[in-house]
Amino acid sequence: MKSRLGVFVVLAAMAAPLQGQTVPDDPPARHIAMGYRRTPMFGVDPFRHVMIPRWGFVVTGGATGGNNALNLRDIGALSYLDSEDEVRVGDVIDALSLVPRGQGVVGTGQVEAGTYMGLSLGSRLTLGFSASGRGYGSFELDDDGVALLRDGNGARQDFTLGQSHVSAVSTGELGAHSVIRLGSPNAMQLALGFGLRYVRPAILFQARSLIENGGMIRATGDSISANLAVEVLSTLPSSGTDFFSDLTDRIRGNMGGSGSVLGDLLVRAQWSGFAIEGMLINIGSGVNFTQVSRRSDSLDIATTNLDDLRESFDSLDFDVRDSVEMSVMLPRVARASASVWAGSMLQLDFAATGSLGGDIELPFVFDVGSTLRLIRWIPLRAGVILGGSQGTGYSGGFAIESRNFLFRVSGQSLGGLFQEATGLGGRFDFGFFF
Amino acid sequence: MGKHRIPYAFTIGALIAFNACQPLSPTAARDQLGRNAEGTISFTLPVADTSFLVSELLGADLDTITTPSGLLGIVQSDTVRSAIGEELEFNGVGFDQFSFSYIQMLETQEASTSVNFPAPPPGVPSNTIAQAPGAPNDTIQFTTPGGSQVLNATVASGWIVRTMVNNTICSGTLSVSLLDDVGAVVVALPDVALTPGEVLTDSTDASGATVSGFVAINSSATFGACVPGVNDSVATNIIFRPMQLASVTLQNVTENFSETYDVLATETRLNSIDTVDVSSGSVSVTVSNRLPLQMSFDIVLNGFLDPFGNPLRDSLTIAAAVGDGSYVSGTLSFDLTDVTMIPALATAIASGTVTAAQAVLTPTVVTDAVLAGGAGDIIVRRLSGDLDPGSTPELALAVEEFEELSADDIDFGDLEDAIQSSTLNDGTIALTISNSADIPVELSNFTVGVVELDAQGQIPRDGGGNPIYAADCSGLPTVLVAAPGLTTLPISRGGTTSVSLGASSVVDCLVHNLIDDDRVALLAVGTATAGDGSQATITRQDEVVVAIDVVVGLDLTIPSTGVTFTRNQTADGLDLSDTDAADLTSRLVSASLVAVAENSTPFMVDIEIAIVPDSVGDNVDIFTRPDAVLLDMVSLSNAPVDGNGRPTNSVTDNVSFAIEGQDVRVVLGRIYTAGIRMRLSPRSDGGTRGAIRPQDGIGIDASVEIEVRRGSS
Repeated sequence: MKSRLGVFVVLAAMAAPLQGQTVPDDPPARHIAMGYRRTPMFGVDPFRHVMIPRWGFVVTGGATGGNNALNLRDIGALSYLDSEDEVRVGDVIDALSLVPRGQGVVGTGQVEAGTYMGLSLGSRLTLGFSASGRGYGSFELDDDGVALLRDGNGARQDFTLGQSHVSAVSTGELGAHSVIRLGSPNAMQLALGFGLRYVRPAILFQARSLIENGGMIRATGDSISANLAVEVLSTLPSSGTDFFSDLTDRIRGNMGGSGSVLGDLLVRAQWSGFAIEGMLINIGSGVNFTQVSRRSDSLDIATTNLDDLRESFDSLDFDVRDSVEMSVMLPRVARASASVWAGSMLQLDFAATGSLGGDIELPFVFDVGSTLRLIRWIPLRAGVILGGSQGTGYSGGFAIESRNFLFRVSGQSLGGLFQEATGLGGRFDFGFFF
Repeated sequence: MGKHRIPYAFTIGALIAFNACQPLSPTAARDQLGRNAEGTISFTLPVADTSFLVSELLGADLDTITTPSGLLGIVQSDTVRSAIGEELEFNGVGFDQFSFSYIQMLETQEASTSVNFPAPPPGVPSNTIAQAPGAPNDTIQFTTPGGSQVLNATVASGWIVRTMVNNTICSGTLSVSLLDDVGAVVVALPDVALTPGEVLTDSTDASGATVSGFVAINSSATFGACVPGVNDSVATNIIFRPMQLASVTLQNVTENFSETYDVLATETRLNSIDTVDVSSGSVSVTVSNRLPLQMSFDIVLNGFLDPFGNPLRDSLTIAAAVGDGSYVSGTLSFDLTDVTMIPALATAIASGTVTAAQAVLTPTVVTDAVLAGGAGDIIVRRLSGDLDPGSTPELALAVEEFEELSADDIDFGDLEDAIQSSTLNDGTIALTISNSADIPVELSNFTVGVVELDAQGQIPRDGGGNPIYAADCSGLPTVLVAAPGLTTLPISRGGTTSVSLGASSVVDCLVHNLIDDDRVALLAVGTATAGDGSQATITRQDEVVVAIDVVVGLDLTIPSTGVTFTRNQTADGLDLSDTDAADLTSRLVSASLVAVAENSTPFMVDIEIAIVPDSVGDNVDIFTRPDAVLLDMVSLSNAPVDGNGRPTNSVTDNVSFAIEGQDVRVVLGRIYTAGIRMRLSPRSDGGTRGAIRPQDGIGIDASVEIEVRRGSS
């Protein structure tokens, strides 16, 4: 009975857009609502749903991430060898040969999941409340370090960890956002959005060199010397524990700590067939993590004996030194976009997204997208992603965007198509509006 | 499980995604990873930074140092302990001769008597009066000063004092006779004429008089015509002054004596000693008696204190001698164990008593009638005082200690043949001598030498008992232990003295005997003299410990055919698994072992290397193993040397060994072992003698250069 009732509700909701599109609130020339005109963003976008001027409830989630070296087939090959055969030293050499010289291995990722509830107060003001979890991550293996195994030490003897690092942070958030629409639909519409998010820390993991410029590794035919020091700051449980249980406890512990309030701003101006938009999110101070386990260890060796080197590496334990409290600045994401469209069928979108500081680097990405609405409430989207660490990527998706129903699925293939991709992205939104 | 549902879902999703991208075979997977592989990659890794120091060719357990002359020195350390305290003893400690003459028994005490006889009673007028027979006090009995009764005697000297008083009214002639118990005149006294009231005193020499039993006095007076009155009388007084007897027969004899004398007066060895704590020993005191009387003898040794602080004492009884002047003796034995002697207080109190019912005594038997003397041996536990070996020769202690060495003590390792065939020109014996006693010690006539022990491990000796030193040495087998510039070696009380002796011939002798597997020992012989006249103490526990460091300086001559050493040395490879090693080998473009070889020995060196996987024992001949990878031989020039054959610099050569094909797998494993065969041969100028410094050796700084192809095919 419950499943039948669910089917009925969905069908009823899908029937509503038909009615909505058939009898739109807006004039015919502007049947596409501003919220649906906005190009969907794979990354974090707190104004994603509040731009839709309806009462409503949305479940949403998405993630995107990629690297600049290994594509899915490479990763699959390594996975296959690891599980079905063995990863040999030659395989490692070959895999490292895929790392672009001068770039090292870099990667970024974002993930978001949550729920949204919107309140529309007249046609000018929409309030949205959200509860979500968000995460940002980036890593880099500096080319000065990768080069040791990729290129050997025949021609070059000095190496370093350089700027190698790993950073990942996740938060739990409660948001309250509003959009005020000014102007007339027949002329210029101006949407001003702002909001606050109450951010609680959840997971933190950072690893970095404690020595400026990444220390030193020198491998010559006479000797091997290294001076490295690495610090790992983490709220993740130690290996060997009941990981998920312990992780849950730690997240609960961090969530119980003090939270931060971050602000988001949006300005969008829309004329007939043209829109520009600017958005800045994560404005504010850092997110305070407590009970961050600090592990560190160092390697300072000069030896002519490989066994000494092995023993030195084996002696690294990265035991927890102490527990600290630290503040992490979430990436301050700035996005500038512009859209043009002709009628309701075709729309082109351009967006430049980057970060203006923060402890997690996000690459500058330029998206070019198009939306084709052969059926007005079923947009088909395709685009090209330029920039980032992975190279040219592609995106695509479709949606059902009606007055009372939203279902949106999209995906990214970064750095290539399908198995050649060095990154992936995906997103879905599912909601009802009234 | 429920709370893990989401992570599992993600995991499953990820697996599905990856599986979709996974190849169908390992080859396809590797082709995928090698899709972009172009060119080669080369690694240069250190595999050996090895210094084959000459010192490492020696046995692993050897201690090495740098000799004063800068050479590599092998040190063999041994310790010899000389318990000088246990050597300290006094033999023939003599007690002064005690003698006592019993003159007292040839003496008489003064004896006297007075006789007063009255005139005849009225009615019996007479001009003669005489002492009535049996009158009181008419005899004299002699005794000695000791109370013995004189039975008869011959007077050697003495006087008789007579006093006569005429208490009559008449002048008359008075006469007195002295008769013994057999009526013999003892001494004839002349008659004397006395007037009324006159008193006469005269003396008569009794020398030569003989007395038997007693002396009876018979007095009388004759007045001529005059008749004394009724109350008149005559008085006679006879005094025998103390007489010296030429001979005497005594009865009921009990004669005592007691004398104190310095029992150690002539024992000058103990003059400077305050206290002697005796560990063990004894003294016998012989007592002699020539009197024909039984004697009980008692002696108290003051200054000889038992553990309770009481002086030693003992007594004995000696039978009577026959009386002809010969002695009868008895012996007292004093156990001196745990006795404390205080020489300054050492006196003896000798006392005794002779007894007999009757005895005949003459000067022959009473002179030196009692003799006592003794001697003994003392083993010392502790000696203190102003100890002076000049007055106490016992403080000069003979020392002879030896320490056997064996070839196992000095393992010359791979250098044994070279050393055996050479003469060692640099050897020292460093002695560190510790004196635990609170007394300075001086070693004199002290030598350290090499002896070949006999089959029983004992030192061979000549007819005089002197050690026979090793005879097959190229030089002197002994070296004198003395401070620089001296012939002796002083060691302060409780102190340590070190001395280094140039002893090349001794060391050379020792080493060659050891290599020849002879039973050989280092023998220390000499005198350790304790004390310098100042206050000091030496105990039985005190010892002189001699730490001997035999330092063999490697100044040697090698045979003209050279000396070959073979060593196996384990080194770390790249620690790749078999499959990784096979993988890398399949990608191999080239491999070589590159080394910078440095020779700092004074000899030329030929090096051959063979390597095998894993670790193999030192005794394995890697060169004969079928799986050995043989590398080309490399010859290194000798280091330049100075006039003494010491390297002044080192020579360096760059060498490269190509490793072909599968041979490279040897160094790709976790461990490999290199067999290294080195031959030291004469220098380029033909010189065979060379001196080795600690830093001299053959250094090989090796790295492996591997160039591999990217991509699996």
